[in-house]
Amino acid sequence: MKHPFQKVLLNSDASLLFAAAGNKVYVFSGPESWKLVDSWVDTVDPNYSLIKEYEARIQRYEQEVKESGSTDHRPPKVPTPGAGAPAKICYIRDIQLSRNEKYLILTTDTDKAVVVFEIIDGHLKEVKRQPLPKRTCSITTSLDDTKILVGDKFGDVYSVDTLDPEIVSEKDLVPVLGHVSMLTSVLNIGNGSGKEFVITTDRDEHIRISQFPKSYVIENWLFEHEEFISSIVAPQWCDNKVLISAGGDKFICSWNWQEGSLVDKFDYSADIEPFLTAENLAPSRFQNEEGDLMEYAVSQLIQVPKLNKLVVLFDRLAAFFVVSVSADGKLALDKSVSVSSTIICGAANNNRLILSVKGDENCLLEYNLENWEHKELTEVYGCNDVEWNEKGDLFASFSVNQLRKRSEH
Amino acid sequence: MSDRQSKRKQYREAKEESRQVLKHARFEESQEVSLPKKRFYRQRAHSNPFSDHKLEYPRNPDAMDWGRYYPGYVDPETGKLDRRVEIADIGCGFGGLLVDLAPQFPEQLILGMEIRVQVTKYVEDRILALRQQHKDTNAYQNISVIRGNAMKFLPNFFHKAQLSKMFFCFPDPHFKQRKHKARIVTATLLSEYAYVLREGGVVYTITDVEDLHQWMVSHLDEHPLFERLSKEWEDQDVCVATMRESTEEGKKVARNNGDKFVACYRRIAV
Repeated sequence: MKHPFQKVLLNSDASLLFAAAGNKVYVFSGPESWKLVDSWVDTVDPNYSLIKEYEARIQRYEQEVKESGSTDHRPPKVPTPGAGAPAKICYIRDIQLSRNEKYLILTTDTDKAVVVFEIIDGHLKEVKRQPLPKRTCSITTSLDDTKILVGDKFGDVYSVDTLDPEIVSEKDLVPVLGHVSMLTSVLNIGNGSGKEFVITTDRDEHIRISQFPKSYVIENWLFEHEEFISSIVAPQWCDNKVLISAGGDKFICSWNWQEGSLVDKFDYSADIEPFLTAENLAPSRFQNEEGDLMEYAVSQLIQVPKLNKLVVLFDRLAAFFVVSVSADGKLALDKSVSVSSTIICGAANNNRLILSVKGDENCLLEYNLENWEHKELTEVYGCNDVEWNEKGDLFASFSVNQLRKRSEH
Repeated sequence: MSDRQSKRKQYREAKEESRQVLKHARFEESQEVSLPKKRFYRQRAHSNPFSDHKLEYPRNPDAMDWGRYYPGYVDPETGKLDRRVEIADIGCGFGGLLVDLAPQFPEQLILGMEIRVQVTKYVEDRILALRQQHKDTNAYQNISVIRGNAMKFLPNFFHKAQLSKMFFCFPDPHFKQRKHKARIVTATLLSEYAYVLREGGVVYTITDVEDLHQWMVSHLDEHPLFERLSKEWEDQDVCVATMRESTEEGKKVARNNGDKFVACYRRIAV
C-alpha cells in the first residue's frame, strides 16, 4: 500500500502543487492537469543521531589514546538498535514556501533538519540543510524572507538564515524564544505599520505574541483556549488585524491580535455532530461509563483569500467546514462538506482546494471552490511511490488528538 | 513503616479538614490552630516541570479568584481584592521567605508558588495558623501560596508588568546537561519573567551551587531586559538579607557552613 500524502501545499496562483509522502516530496505543475516535475527524497540514515553520537565518542576515544598513549577503555561500540526497537518514523514534517515563493522549505525527521530549496521552473535545487537539536513542528519565514523560524517539540524556536550557506553546529544554536511546552505553530506577521511580530502557540492553550527580531520582548498573550492549539492563520483580507486560532477546543477563536482582544468565538460542536463516527470516540482509557465520549479537534485552518473564507479540517473526520471571516474577524459557518474518507491535510489557493484523504487508492481530491465539485487526482496519486507497511502504525504520529493533555497526578 | 504512614495519613486528613474550615470562615472565633509539623509533609525533592500535572490555573489573570487567597484584602463592595499581588516567590518551598517578608511589606501582597503538593499544603497550613494566631493584628494576611507550575503558567496568573519583585531561592540545580531546560532561569524563560515584571522591578537569585549561580548570572547578563545590581546595592537591600537568612535551604547551608551566591537584576526598559 502507498503512503498517503501527509502534507500538501499550493503556491499563490495554484500553478505548483507540492506533496509530501513519508520522506519524499513531489512537485507537480498545473493548472490544467497536474504533471510531475520533480521529486526529492530524504536519504539521511534514520539512525542519524545514533551515528553522530558514535562519531563523537570515537573522537573522544582517539583523543584519549593520542594524549595518554594507551587507555584502559575499550573503543566504543557501533550502536545498533535491537531487534525489538520500534521502527523509526521518518517523515517530512512540514513544508512551506517563502513569502516570495522562490524557495521551498521543509523539515526532516532523520537529522531533524531544515532543508531549503530554490525553485527553478518547478525543479528543486537544494540550497542548504541545517540540522537542529530537536524534532521540529512548524516553520515560518520572516516578512523579508531572510530568516526561517522553526518551532520544535521541546518548545524552542530557532532562527535559521535562509540563504547563508554556513551550517551552524547544533551545540551553538541558541533559541530565539521558547515555551515550556511543545510548540504547535509559529507564524510571523506584520502590524501594517512596519513592525513585525512572531506568534507562537503550544500544547498548553497559550498563544504568545513577541516582537521580531527582538523576540525576547513579549507583547501579549491571547487567553481563551482550554485545550491545545493546533493551527493559527492571519487571513490576508483582514488588514493585518485578525488572527484565527483553533485546536482541541469545541470552538474557533478570532482575535484582534494587536489589541489582544477576542473578537469572536465560533462553537462548532453542534455542526460537527452529524459527521462524528466511531473513529472519534475517546481512547478507552479516557472513555466514560456509557462509552460514548467523543473527542474532536481542528487539525488545520486553511485560508482561501479568493472567497474571504477559511476551510477548516478536523482530526479523523470525513468532512470539512467552510467558515466565512469578515474583515473585522466575525466568523460564520458557510457550509459543511462531506468527503468520501477521513481528511489528513489540505491546501487551497485561487479557486482550488486540494485534500489528501486516507484510503486505499485515489487519496487526493481537488475541489473547485466556485461550484464545490470535486475530482480525484488519480494522475498525481499515481506518481506516489512511497510504500507504507501498514503494520507500523505510522499514522499515529499524525493524530492531532494526541496533543490532548491527560493529566494524571 | 506502615504505622508511620498511617499516622501521616491521619495527620494530613485532620489538617485537610481544618484547612477547609479555615479557608471559608475568615474570622472564626476561638479555634486554636497549631503550626503544622513539617515531618508530615515530606515529599520527594523534585517534580518534573514538563509533565502534565493536574494543576489548577486560571484561564487568564482576570479569571483568577484572588479573594480565596487574601481574604483580608477583599473589598466588600466589589468582592474583589483592593490591590494586586506584587511580589512572587517562585518555588517557595516551605515558605520561610514568605513568612519573613510578610511584616517587611505589610502593604503589599506576596505570593509563593510551589509545584510539590504536600509542600504547598504545609505552607498553606502554616499561613492559616499564623493568621489565626495573629488575628488581633491582622498580620500574615498579605502572604499566600498556590500550587502551580510557574515555568508553564506564569502569564496565566499575572498581568504584564504586575510584579515588582521575583525571588528564585535555592532552585533545583538540575546538574545534567540535558536537564538544563528544566532550570528555572533560562534565556527563554527570562523573557516571561521580564513580561510580568514592571520596569525597575527586581529578580533576586540565591543558590549554594556555584555552577548554577554562574549559569543564572550568564543568562541574566546576556538578556537585554535585565541589568545586574551592584554589590553595594545588595548590601543595603533588606530583601537580600532576608533571603540569605530566612529560607529553609538558606539555614541548612548556613548550618553546614556552605557558600551562598547572590545575584540581583533590575528589569530595564526595552
